[in-house]
Amino acid sequence: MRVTTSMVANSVGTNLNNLRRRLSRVETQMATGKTILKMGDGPALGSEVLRLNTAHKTLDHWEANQNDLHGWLYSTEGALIHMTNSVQRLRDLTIQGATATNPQDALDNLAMEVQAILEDLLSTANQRHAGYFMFAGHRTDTKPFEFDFDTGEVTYLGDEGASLREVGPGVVLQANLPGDTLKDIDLFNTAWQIAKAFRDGEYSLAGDLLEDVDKARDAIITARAVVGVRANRLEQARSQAIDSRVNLTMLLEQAQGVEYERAILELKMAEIAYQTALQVGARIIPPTLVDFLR
Amino acid sequence: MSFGGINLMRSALQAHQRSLQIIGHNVANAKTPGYSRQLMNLTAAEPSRLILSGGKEGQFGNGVREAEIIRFRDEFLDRQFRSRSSLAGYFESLNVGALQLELIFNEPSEAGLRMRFDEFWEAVQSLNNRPQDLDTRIQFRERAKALVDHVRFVHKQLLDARRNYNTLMVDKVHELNSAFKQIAALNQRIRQAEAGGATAGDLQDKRDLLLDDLAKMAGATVVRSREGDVSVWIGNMLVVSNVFHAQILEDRLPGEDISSFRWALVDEPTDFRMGELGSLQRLRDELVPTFISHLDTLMRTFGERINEVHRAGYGLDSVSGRNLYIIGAGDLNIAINPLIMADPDTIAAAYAPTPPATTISVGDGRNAWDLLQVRDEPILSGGLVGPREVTAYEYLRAMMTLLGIESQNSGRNSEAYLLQVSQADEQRMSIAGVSLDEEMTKMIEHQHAFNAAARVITSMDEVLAQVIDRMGVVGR
Repeated sequence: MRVTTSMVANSVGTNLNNLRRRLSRVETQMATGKTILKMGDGPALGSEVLRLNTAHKTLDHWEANQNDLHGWLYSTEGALIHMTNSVQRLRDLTIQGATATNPQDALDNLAMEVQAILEDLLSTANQRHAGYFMFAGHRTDTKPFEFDFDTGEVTYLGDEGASLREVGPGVVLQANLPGDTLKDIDLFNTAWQIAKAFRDGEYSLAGDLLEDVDKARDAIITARAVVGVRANRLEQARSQAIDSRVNLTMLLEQAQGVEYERAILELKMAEIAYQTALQVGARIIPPTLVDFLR
Repeated sequence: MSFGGINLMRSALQAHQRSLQIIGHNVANAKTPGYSRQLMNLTAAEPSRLILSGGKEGQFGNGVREAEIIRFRDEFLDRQFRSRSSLAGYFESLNVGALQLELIFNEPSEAGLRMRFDEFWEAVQSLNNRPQDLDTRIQFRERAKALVDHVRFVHKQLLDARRNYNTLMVDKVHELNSAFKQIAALNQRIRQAEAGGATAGDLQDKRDLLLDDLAKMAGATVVRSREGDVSVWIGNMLVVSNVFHAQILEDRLPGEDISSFRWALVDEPTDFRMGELGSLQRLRDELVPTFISHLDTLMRTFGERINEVHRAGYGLDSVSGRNLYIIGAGDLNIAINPLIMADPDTIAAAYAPTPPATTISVGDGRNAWDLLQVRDEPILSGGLVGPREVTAYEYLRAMMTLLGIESQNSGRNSEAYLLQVSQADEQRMSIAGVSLDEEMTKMIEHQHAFNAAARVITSMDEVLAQVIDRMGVVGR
């Protein structure tokens, strides 16, 4: 086969260009740490990268929701614990006042303390979390419990709306505890009646109300259990999310990550090939017979 | 004694001088694209019959004759080169187009459509978590807007790309027309030049170069007639025959972006399948419209479903029945409802008020929750994904996979065919190309031969001078 001058020049040019392209591909991969920079780099892997990126984002949402839910459950549980303590105190006072041995001024003191507990219970039931009335259902901008201290009548202004959070794949938990559970137990009215009974000196009436106080206490404890179960499931979702994150990161790395050992090896090889081609090209292009003619 | 010897050497001087001239022509065109090297074929002149003094008959040489100037070229290799070149042209330009589309869609990245969807759903979640806050509502509005803004931007870029492919096609068609005309003209000139039996090497080179261009641009097939002119086909259309040539006309209605092309004489639309024009036509008429229509299907179905859910819900003002998106006729005619834009409180995060209440509850995110469910709903089917029902995400991924395959295939094919083209070209060049070493060798040979011939003439001259000037002067 004849080999002409421009053939040599052309093939040196083409080879250099190919090597340059190989170098730049390895260089880009190493600089970005990714092998899939556009869909054409691997359509199936590219689609997988898209899926995993969305999965990552979804996990971000879930984790944000978990934190949000955690705040709600924490506040709710705090309020309920506080209420349990108050109700316990209310029960103690009721027992204390329900005997015939108390003079009226002692009963008056008890009545005042019961009144204070009632006010405390009310303010706890009207507590806010991040500016939202916690026990108001969806009516988060309305103070849920209106209490008429003259008649002892409770009005619930909230509703039964449940606020849901997605915290994992198919895991949906309720963030709030609508106040209707509290409304139904007549706690505030019971406390008001006890205070009134003490003030009126009708201590035996207070004793009859003890059963209602116990019912209220049980209801609050049940509510705490509900919140506790949610907190439990939230913790499960959290540790699941952490596992998923590790898993996803690994999958994403497998799909698009650069194996640096291999990439460096490839870079070195491309570099050597390129330099060799340059040197060989530089040697074989210039000389022709012309250079040796006098 | 005669001057025959000098005459004989004169032919040698002329032959070597002209050979040198041809070598010069070769060297001068060593880098000329499409040039085929030439060679003066020399042959010994017809000998004379003479009776040698020994009594025998002898054949007496009469020097050298210039037999012909030949052009080195292999038609078979040309055909091979052109068939590879039309494929390489097709895939190379298709790959450039596919890369442009990839750039427009920009996946996988943190700035593509997938990301906009992710952010939209994030905003829906926030709206569900804190429906009464203005900031979550503004975030939702902006994300919902950014999603469709991005899609419209992608659509605009796709249209731009399509216009660009059209411009490229118009340019190529002009080049084709000009090449047809030049080839027909060259057919005539070559026929005239070769009427006397000569080889019109340089004219043929020019024509072959044009044929190479035609193959790359539109995949032309070439048939050479015995008279030396070529007929050219593109697809099944005869575009050059003898001195006649076809012409492609461009029609474009005023205000239209896209031209249509037709063959002037037969008045038929053109249909390019090969070469760069083939891929440009595919990009312009098939790929870009396909992706626009897939994108439109995706956004229209998504938008309508979101609207449906949104209409069912209630804004903070306890009004329902409002669309989130305004979706009009035509491709990707989707924008956020100006009403929502003007007042984020109109975003329908809540359910209807529960009687006896007449207003909705501000903390009610149930409709936002319903919106969120659309994320995992299989709302799309047909077309791209067949009968299977898929989510918006899955549809988007299917689209991107399709694009990736187009890009990967065209990339691989263009690399493979470009390699074949350069191999075929190398083979061609090994026959037709100028080798400077070879030319220099021939140059030295001819130079020496010329010098030697001159020396022979000198010697003959001296012999004659001896005879004419000095012989027979004895005793003068």
